[in-house]
Amino acid sequence: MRNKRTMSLAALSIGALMLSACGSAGGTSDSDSASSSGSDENLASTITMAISQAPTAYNGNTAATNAVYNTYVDNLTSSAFAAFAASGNLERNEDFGTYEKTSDDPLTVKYTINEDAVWSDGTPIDYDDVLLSWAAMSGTHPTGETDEETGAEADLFQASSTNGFAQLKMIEGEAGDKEFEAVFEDPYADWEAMFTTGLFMPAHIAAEQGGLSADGDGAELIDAIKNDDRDALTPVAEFWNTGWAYEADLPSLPDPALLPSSGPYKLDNAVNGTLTVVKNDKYWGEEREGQTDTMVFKTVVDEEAVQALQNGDVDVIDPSSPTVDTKTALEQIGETVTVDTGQSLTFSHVDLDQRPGAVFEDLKVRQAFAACIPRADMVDKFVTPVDPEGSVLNLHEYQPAQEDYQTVLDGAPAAQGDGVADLEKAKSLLEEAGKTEPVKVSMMFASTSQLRADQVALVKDSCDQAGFEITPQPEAEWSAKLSQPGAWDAVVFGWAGSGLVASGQSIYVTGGEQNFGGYTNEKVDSLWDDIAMNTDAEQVVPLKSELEQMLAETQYNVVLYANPNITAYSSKLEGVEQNPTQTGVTWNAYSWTKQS
Amino acid sequence: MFYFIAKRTVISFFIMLAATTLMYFLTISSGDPFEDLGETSGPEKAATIAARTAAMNLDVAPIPRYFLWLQDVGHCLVPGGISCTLGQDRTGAAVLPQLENAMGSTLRLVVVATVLALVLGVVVGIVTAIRQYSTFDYSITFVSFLLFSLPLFWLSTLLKQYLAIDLNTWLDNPQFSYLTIALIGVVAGVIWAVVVGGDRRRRLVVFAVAAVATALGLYLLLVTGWFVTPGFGVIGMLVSAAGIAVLWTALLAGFRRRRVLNAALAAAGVSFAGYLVSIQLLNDPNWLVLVALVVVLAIICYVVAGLIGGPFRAQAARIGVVIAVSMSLLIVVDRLLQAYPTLSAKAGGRPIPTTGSQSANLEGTFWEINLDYALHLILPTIALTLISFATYTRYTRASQLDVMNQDYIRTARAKGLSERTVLVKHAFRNAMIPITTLMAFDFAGVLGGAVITEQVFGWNGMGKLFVDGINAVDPGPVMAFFLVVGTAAVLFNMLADIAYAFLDPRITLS
Repeated sequence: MRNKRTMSLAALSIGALMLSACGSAGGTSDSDSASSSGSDENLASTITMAISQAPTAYNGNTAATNAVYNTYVDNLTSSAFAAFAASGNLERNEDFGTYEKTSDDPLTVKYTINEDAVWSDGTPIDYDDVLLSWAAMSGTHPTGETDEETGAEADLFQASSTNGFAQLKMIEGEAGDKEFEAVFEDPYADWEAMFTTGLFMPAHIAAEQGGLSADGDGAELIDAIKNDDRDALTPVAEFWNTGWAYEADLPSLPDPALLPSSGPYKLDNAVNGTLTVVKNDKYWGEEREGQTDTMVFKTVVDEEAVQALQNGDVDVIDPSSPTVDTKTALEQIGETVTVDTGQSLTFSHVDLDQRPGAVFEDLKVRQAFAACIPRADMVDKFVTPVDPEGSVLNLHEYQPAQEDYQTVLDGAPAAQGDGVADLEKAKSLLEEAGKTEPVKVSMMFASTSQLRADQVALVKDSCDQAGFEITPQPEAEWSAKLSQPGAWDAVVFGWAGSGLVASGQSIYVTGGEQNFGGYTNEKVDSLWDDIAMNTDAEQVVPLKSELEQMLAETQYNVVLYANPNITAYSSKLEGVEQNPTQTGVTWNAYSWTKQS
Repeated sequence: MFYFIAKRTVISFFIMLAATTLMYFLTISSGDPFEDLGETSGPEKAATIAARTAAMNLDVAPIPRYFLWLQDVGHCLVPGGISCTLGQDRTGAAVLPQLENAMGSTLRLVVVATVLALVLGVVVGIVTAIRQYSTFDYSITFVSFLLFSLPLFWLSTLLKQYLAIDLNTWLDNPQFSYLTIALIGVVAGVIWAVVVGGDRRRRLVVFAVAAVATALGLYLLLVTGWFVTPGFGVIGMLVSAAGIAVLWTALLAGFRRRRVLNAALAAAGVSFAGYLVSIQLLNDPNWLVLVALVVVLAIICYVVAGLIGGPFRAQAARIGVVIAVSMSLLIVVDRLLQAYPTLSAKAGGRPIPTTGSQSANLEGTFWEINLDYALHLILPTIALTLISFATYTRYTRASQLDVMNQDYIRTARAKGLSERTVLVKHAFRNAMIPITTLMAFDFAGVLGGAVITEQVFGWNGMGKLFVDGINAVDPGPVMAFFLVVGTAAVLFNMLADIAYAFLDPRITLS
């Protein structure tokens, strides 16, 4: 009886299942027609961008706030005479104004700000803004307080760097001027990179907040700076240092009236680490005019960015130090997401202690070490899985992502090579150097980094066969130990390239602050003097080719590869393009559009 | 009592002092505060090092540096006068505002999850204790050990994949094949059969009824487009009101007293009338209006149920209030559901986010904004609830079993009390005493935030403050976190002791 009932029940349910497998219930019938009717005109009003840390301040020119996350926002809310483009080179921003070099001795550049250029509150961008930038960045307002240890004197303005501006004479002009001349006391190679996006801060706001009147195009502030009136400038400097800072993790934005913008977008609001900028209705330019109404910067840690992109919480992600896993995860999402890969200006390298008496004092030993390091292997393991076009890095001052890389490399034959480890060559070089015992090398790296540990393991694997004996030396405080002679024999770490011409000087010249291995070469020193004083962009490439040739011949260090970069974005977006410099992916965000 | 509190406060103070000393030196010796600058070569490096050295007092030896920090804390203890900042972080920003933000965020994130885990855990724990060694008991034991051992970050990733990314895609065009509907019905049937239990025949009946009801309900929801425009509707609210009245009466009074049931039904009727009235009132309210309406409804129900309750006035009135509050909650949920279609459109058709605590620039009604908060809370709340649910179930089950085997329970049964009275009045209350201690610790833990959950779901809470501080070897935020969490632990410990003395007359504080 029960058997029968169970049987019939089973038969019934199987029958029902068979029948029902064909159809389905529910669904929205009108959704398809609504979405397919979209035409080109149907653009979304908001684009959301993920950044892994919340911006910290509107003024990114101070020592405390000079971070890439502020630059991401500055790219939209600020403009100036030039900006770094995707080629890694500077590009003029004619919207903002024009400039031309009028003299080489002394180096003089004439700048003209666009007649229509105004802050988003309507105040013209003119002489007082320029003069405040000079005052803040030139380090010419010492407070008189000296640091006990270093003996350095603190400045009223806590600028991140005084490079270039310290060489610049005070910029002459009158209140309301739209034209000015920059006259340098000493030639400065990177003069074009000085008046770039993010530099100019609204002087009328700083003046008002510092207790000065902003009337008459900032005449009071101009007088105070020209007369070096410390009492009047102190509150202005205090505001410049900290008044534009946001609260940590950006729970809210200061009064937007204090944050007028000079770019295609202006700051609107912030909640819980999410910052919104809206189109600047006072923006005068055409080339860089914002294409989408609202841009949102959302704080998402790198590990979670892929899922946030997949779910549409953000439209663009730009994870720092992406791995193969990042790329695989992104590619698995499918065609709704576009993945761009490329190379950044950050590169890994091995520095060698070559002071008298150190392991790598002898050039032959350095060359042997360079020969046995499996650079091509590292590229195969860490770069090409992410960026298929990645290659071994052969230069110190240029990375493959830069236009001039190939030209410079062609001019420096000694630097060329495929990076495949050559154990025989390493062995014979060591023999020539008279090393009969294995050469002991203690190789330092950051103990927190798995990547560095992997790199050292690869070096050990290869070089131990060539007559070295590598001891991995993981250090938590590796950066402090860099400048301690004898604390290491070799060290692997990264440099973030800047795209600037002269910024690498202290790495390579005799006694340079960041010349950790104690390298010294007179030819290199004099080449650097020429480069730093050279103001003609045309001459940089031949000078740097010569420099690279010298560095390769004398085996300054071993450069490994430039880190790969990933930018991923919703396929509805148009206009996103990677930028290898530290300007970041938002460098052209004003031109982005999104299909809704 | 006073002596006890005074003594504990003094001891706690010294415990905290010793703990902060230890914590401070552990933090500053945990790494290199300049590690992140190692690979920068630009001219800004020196300036950044100088600025950071000044902000963190790195030019001062460690022991005097600790006293400088203590001095900053001291400023907060002295009323008025000197500014209270709790020191600076490495960028030179004051720590106190960061701490306040972090605490606000954390409370929002963790309180709901903790309460939910507590209620669910206790209820399930009691049921498993009553039905010890049943299939249900074994299933829950299995599930809670599974949840115990789940790594939170992995669970979160799964939740994001299935309950956000995939569910959003499904919600865009909600449909199931008939086969899927049937399978869901079968699964629901099995679960109900296991939960309800009984002999084979009863289980079969429960299975059949539950399976058919679930499949049919799901089918109806799908064909009526409920997932596109959700809500209870007037009829749904009427049925729910009756159901709520019966449920609460069953739990709190039993059906023996007819007048109490009548009073409960009357309260449900009043609440339903309140719902009809509120349809117009609640289009775009604020919190004040909402709370006021709930209070008014509760008072009316209290009076009405009390009047009808007759001889059982007090009990009936209490049940009336419970029903009013339950119905208010239901009305709020209904309203939030009704706000779903417009909010979903504003979120670009993907309403459930994987990250963040609220949508940027959302403009809309009270209901849309709160539904947005709720949707942002869903995933982290589920993750947190699932994990602490396991603890509560196990503790409650053990505690309840312990009590059920006591002599006085046997006595109560022997007196002829109903099983409901024995379980709820005699067993449950006493079983709750050890849970109090657990709760006290848990709420202290709440303030510490949920380190991983905050990180994974992009909330700027206490956990993130702590982790970021540790990563940057920045004692300012780490110590601020520690001050709050340490004080809470010490304080709640004391409160638990005091509560214990109140709940259990055998214990005296001396």
